[in-house]
Amino acid sequence: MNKKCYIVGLPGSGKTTFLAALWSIITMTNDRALELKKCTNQEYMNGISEKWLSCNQMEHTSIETVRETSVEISETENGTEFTLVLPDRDGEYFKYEKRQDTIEADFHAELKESDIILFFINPAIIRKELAYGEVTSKYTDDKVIPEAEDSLMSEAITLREEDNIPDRNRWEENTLGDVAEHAELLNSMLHSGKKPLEIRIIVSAWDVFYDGSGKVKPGDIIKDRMKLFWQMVETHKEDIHVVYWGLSAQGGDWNDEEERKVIAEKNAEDRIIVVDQSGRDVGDMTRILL
Amino acid sequence: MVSDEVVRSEITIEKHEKNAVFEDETQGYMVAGETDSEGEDSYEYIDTLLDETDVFELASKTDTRIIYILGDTKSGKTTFETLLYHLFYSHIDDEWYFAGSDTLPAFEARRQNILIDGRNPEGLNMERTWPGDGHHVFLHMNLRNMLNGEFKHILLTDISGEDYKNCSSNRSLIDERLPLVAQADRLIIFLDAKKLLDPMKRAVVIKDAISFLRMLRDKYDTADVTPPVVYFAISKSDRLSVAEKEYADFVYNIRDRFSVLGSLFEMNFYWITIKDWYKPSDKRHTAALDFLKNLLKDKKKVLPAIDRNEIENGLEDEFNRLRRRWVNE
Amino acid sequence: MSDKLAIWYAKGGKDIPGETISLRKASVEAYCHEDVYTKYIESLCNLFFDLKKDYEYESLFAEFMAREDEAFTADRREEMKILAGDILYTISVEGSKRYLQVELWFMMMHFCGNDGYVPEISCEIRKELYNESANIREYAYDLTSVDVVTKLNVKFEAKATDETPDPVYEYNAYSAQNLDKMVKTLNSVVCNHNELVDKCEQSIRLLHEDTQIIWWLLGERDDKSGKHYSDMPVEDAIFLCACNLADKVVEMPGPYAADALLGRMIRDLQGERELCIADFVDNVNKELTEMGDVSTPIMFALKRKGEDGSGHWYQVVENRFGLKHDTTIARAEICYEIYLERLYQRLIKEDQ
Repeated sequence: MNKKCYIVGLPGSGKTTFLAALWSIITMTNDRALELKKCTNQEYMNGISEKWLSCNQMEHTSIETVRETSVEISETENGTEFTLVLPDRDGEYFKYEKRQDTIEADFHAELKESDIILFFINPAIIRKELAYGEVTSKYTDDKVIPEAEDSLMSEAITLREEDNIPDRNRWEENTLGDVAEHAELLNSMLHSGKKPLEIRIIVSAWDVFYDGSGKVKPGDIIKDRMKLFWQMVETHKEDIHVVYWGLSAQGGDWNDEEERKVIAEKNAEDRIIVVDQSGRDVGDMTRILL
Repeated sequence: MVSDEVVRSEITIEKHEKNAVFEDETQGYMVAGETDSEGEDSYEYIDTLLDETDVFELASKTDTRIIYILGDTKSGKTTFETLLYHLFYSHIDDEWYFAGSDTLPAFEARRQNILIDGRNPEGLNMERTWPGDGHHVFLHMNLRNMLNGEFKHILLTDISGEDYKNCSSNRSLIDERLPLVAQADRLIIFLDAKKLLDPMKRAVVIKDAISFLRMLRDKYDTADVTPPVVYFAISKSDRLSVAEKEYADFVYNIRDRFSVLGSLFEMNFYWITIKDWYKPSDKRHTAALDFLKNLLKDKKKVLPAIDRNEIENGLEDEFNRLRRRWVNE
Repeated sequence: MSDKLAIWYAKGGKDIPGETISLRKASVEAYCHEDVYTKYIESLCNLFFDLKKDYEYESLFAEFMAREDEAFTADRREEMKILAGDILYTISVEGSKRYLQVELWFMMMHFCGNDGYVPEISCEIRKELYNESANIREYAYDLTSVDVVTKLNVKFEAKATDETPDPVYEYNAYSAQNLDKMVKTLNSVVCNHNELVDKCEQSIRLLHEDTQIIWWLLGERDDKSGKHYSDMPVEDAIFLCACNLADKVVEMPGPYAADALLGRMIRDLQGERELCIADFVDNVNKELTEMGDVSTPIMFALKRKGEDGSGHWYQVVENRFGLKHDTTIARAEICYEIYLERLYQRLIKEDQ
């Protein structure tokens, strides 16, 4: 039986890091749920694996160089063999601006051929926003009602700074907000014509949310930070079968030098954090594909 | 004759001079594609709106509800539409969930105008709807009722204040500028509370609304379709900071002015405020979400009962005529 | 094909482009041929009233529509409902095959509170049924509507072709032409005769129906058991009353005053004038409701109650017909509904 997995995710969502970690785990360790049989683009996979092992940030994948990698894997439990085709698309490809006309048609064609979609989302980089009206509600809750609206707005700007809400000038290159980009991507997938879609939503950078208690669930993080997107998932359960996963392939913040050193000293499999949709730590990232 | 481009650049220069939303009606707005007074390029909108062909395609497949949003300039129409979208962006209701939109980029472009940040510190800087915009295009939102599983596709229009005023005095313009109004289930007419408070401006606002609805009435008569439900949305209702008795008199006065329309349309009045749109509904205002839920309520079409008197007036056979004698026993 | 298709689209809240309406009209016209729609009456009704979803039928329907408009796909369900409504309306208005089945179905659905996707269509079709019922008696005894055959003034001249004692006669050319006219006139006479006979037969049937109904009204008794309606439980009386009247109907769709006749019959029965559907169905004597296959709301509910017991039919009936078990309604309306359903069952049986 052949299962084809299609990786989807916006820039910075952790797709390449996932591939690198997966390759490292499959090639280096035994006693896995999945066992490597064959790979078509070994040089590329080895390259990103090395970077991952040495805790170096992955390069931004260029849209011009689509490295379709096919990995044949066998499921160790019952010996079923299947092929994972993992096209490593640049995150820009999935953004709304790019997915117009012919690219959208190609995207839908690829979705139709796939059995499972791995949808990577990094909620840690979703920018917080403050809208008109939300400020007034905050203030009336505290029973502090400024008399002059001018002072209300200056207070709001201070509030924004305290909450680390970024300045919108950064958004000039983006035409949709972060949550809206994800929602629009999901909308496009719903229009692909394939029903039902099997989607594994992988909440990456899970180290940011993980507290070891097993109570934090990936679905709850999405619900809290990406309400619009979460609602779309909930309303189309007949057309999309979603399973949430939490994954930290990096194991921590590689930008923090101290933390990076600690992570680098760990065994490959020990640095990865994987939780299932109930928040339970499953330990083995290959379970995502099963 | 002053060209549009000249007019637009004049507006742009005035932009940062006043806290225009709250004090000055001659506010300038930043216009897509124009440079602002500091010489920086403004960001561009991506507008993907549905046209009439798209609307027909959608209506052929789904339960759609067309809502026309009309009203005077700067009465809050576009801001309201934006808020309806932002409601789902920032909040999860128990009953209605956001299920997608085919015009999501267009909503997003509008939503940028209500966000507070360095570019927009005042937090409300909605782009003006120009005459000619919105005639034949629609914003789309798909909502799902999580209690009964039904999907509802909402199609919103955003007609400029000038077009609304012109249509209220010229019936032929309704066909040209509001092409699908005969299919609309709901009509929302925005009335600016600030203007209603001023007795002289109030007369003009109400006159425009009544005149528009009278123009529309003829259209429904000839098209042989059921008129839509009319919702009067009195915006900026936070300005009505008056005592209870005066407030009640004011409300009564407004409703009474529309009584001249008689039973032409089913009319509902809602007092909404953009400023406190997060607050739950109370005696004086309706929260935006509650207003939306009212819009979404299904109203079963009530047809008049078949008038069997029409059939029975010409009957001669005695057996047939038994019915007239016995049916009411 | 009705000329109201554009109106139905407007009433249904869809603005159809001008070029598309002509394609749809052509499709509807093609669908309204007897050999096309006849076996799909129930499916058309299910589609219009949004009852049991039949994806196979919808796919076929879409394929048919796509013959005129290639862009028509099976997901255009909302539009298909309007088209189904127009087809049913056309069948009713033109009196095409099985039009009565359509009209009765609309009456029954109206009882269930379902007027379909475009309620105006339901309104028009129900009016058709009332008009038809009234017109049976208004025009039945009027023989003046039968065409009069014009007298033929022709002469046939034959000439002997020889001078023998028993000559062969030959008709001339002028006479040969008149022969043709004579045949036509004879045919007209035959048709006229047949039409008169049909009308007389219908008149006799109606008179017979009238007298049967009048005797029944006088007797106020059930046909089978002979018991007076007031001597039996109210629910049984309502049920039997409706069945008795329906069985007396000779000329479909029955007397125009049927609802009034039934109302008169049950007027003096004990109990409340209004009944809850659930109470009615659960209290009707099970023996009375033993029946074969039924596909109408109340009869189906009665059958399921008989099979599964009281209360266990609520959901299945609501799912199938939209009839809510807790609806309270005038008992005269329940009686009339059962009468219509009984007529409907007869029609189905006769068609088979």
